[in-house]
Amino acid sequence: MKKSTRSRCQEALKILLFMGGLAGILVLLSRFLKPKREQVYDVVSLEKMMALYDAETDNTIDVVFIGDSEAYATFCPMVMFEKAGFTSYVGGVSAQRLCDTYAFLENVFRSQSPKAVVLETNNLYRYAGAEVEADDAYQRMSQRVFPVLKYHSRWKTFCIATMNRKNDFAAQAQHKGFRFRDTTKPYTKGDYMIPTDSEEAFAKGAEEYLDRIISLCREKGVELMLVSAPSPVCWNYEKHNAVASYADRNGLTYCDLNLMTDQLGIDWRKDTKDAGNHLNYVGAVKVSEYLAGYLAGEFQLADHRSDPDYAEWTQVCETFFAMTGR
Amino acid sequence: MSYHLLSYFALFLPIVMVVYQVIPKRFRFLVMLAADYTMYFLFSGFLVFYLIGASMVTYGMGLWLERVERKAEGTPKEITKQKRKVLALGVCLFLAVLLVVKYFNFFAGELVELWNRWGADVTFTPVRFLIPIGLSYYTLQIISYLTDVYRGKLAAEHNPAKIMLYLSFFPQIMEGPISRFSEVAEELYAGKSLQYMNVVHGYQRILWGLFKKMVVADRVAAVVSTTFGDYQSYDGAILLYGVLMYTTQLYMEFSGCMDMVIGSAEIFGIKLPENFKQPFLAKDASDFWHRWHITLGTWFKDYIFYPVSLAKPVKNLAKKCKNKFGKGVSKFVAPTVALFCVWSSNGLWHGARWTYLFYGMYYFVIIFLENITEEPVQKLAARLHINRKSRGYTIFRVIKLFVIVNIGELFFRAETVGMGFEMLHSIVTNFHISNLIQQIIYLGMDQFELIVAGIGILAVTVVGALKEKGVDVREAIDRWVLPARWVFWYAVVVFVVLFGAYGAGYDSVAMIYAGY
Repeated sequence: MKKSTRSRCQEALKILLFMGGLAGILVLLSRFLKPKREQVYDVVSLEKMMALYDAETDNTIDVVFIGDSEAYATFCPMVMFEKAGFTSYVGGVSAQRLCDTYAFLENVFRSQSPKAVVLETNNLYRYAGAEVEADDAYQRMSQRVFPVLKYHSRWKTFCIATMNRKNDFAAQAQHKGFRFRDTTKPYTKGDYMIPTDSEEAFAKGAEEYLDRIISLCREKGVELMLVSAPSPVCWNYEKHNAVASYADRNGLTYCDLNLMTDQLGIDWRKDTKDAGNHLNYVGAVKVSEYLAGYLAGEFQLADHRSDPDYAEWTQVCETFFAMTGR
Repeated sequence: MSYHLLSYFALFLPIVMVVYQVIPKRFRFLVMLAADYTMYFLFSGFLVFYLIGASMVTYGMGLWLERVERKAEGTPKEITKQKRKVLALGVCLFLAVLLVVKYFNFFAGELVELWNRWGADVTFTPVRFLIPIGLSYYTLQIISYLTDVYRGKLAAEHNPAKIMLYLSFFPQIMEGPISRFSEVAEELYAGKSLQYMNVVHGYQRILWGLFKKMVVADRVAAVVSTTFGDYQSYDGAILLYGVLMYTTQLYMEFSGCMDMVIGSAEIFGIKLPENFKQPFLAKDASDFWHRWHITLGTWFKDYIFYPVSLAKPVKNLAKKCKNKFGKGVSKFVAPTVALFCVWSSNGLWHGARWTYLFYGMYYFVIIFLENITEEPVQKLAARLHINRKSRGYTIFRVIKLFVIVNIGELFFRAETVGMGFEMLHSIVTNFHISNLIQQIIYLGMDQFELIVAGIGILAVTVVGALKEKGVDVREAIDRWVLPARWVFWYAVVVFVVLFGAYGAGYDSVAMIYAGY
């Protein structure tokens, strides 16, 4: 009996020691992987996006586009440079949250002095906080104790850092954050901007982050403009009303391209990649050509097309258009 | 809550273990029942009352069958007839619930569409049913219990707690395995004390399941949704990559979940039946289904295949065929009719979709062809002096099966049968490997993730191959010295923590088989 108790104690001790060792390993890993900035959601995508952006020559970007996939599918910096001669860059990843957009923008101002920042408004209809909503309270508590459970994917950032950045990022960097997608899946469900007076509230936390983005831009003396990309799947009149009244309250310029699809010449049978969710390249060119003229006039942007300091941009455009066959 | 979440294996399970261990042995079944119903409540809310009600009805039907046998008067044939009526009532009752909540909308919708094509103008609004989780699994367990009591293989259970434990055991309620009453009920009720080695082995098995699900299945899931979600945009090589990743996802997900389920049960000293046995090393489609979702296959064999092939009308049909076409044809009649019933049930069991039914019929045709060609192939191989046990022939069989399985999974995952054919057509006629090489890192897994998934797949393949040769890796590790063992298991935990596809940037992937 005594022996049995002793052996049980030994077994319990073994389990405790193993668990203690495991906790120690997780604490060590947490120290190693925890990023300096904690209030971000998708830290890996954000760090990759920041690394790409940091590769740009300092103080050469005139306009910064921020948002989620709607931003990188809609705004084409090469088309805008070709059309109006100003430089721009798109900082957005799939399902990007406003907390990450804010973090990206803070990073932008460290190396660039843009004249304007354009926020694509679909970003306002996505939960803005840094937490994974699906996580339960226990999961969140565990992440606080062992941050490695939240930031585990940062191993990828280290892998990227050890590689030849020029080679790895070459294709993406040359597109200045824009994603070239030339496939078509038509949208056929008809008119989606049905006039109404009602408003659809922003997603949780979005207004708070938008306020912070406004403060940051004002602090840096940069104009902030809101733009809604054409998207029958993501956009409607209720959202338009909500953004328009926010812009009105805060003295922001707001341009809803969903109300201008006829003027832009958007053909939903041909200009969308995925049945109205995102524009394809043809649609993006139409929007970018319009915005090039609009932004150049609105913010008095300089034309760098014959400036030798911006020769790299001419080269980037030539390569890009050779690829797209435009 | 789900088996791969911390809140399950690092909170719920330890709490149940502690409470279970400190309670006197004779009350431990109550702790288990409380855990079962708590877990079920967390999944399905107040539908837990359906499970409790189903358990009570099953208990009552079992006793009724016993009472008919004990009190009946008349010839054995008459008694069997009376028992059959009771069994039919019980089976129909539970099947009716399953059929209505799972299939009503589908069949009613299809009928209305058909009717409208003939000129009618009927609109059908689907009924929103609340479906208790695990319904497809425990309904089969109920039917097996009642049938076994009817057949006299089992005595009707007089303790309702055992029935309740059998139908609601928390690790298996979501995805099975579909166990038999005789396999688990006594162990569930016994309240055996926790043993150190059981706890250690149980958690090791859970860890292995987490490795399969989180490192491999959830990582390749992004490729699957990209390729299947926009299949018209990709060429055949990319679609083939998507299909291979889906087969990988399905196997890693389901077998990984089974590891977590069986590991959880092992902690309490309960041995659940295995559901996978290296399926990709099978020699043909029939053998594949003896190794993939084993408990569903054996259920269909015991409760559909044998009863159908031994049924009087089927026997009569075989006899008629013998008279008309001879013995060579008639020997296939009963097994083929039974096989058809098994595979249409298998397809429909997965859900109310034409693709699932097509999937079932696909395997029916493949296995039927295998059955009727087995003898001629054997003779041909002998004539050509081909050794069917040689390594070359085995490799040929494994590759052939791999192709068969992947085509099946393509249709299983496709939204419609038409989409499946379009994808297959593209794979065959529009295959450009250069497109895949150019785009592979933009289809859901970048180069680093491809390496991680590759390591995961390699590890699972090696462990499976060793198991097939009779080497149990876990037992082999048990024989290492303690520091080496601990370093190994720490390494596996760290690998899962670091390289698991979870959290920000990854869509949470629900357990696929929990939806069936």
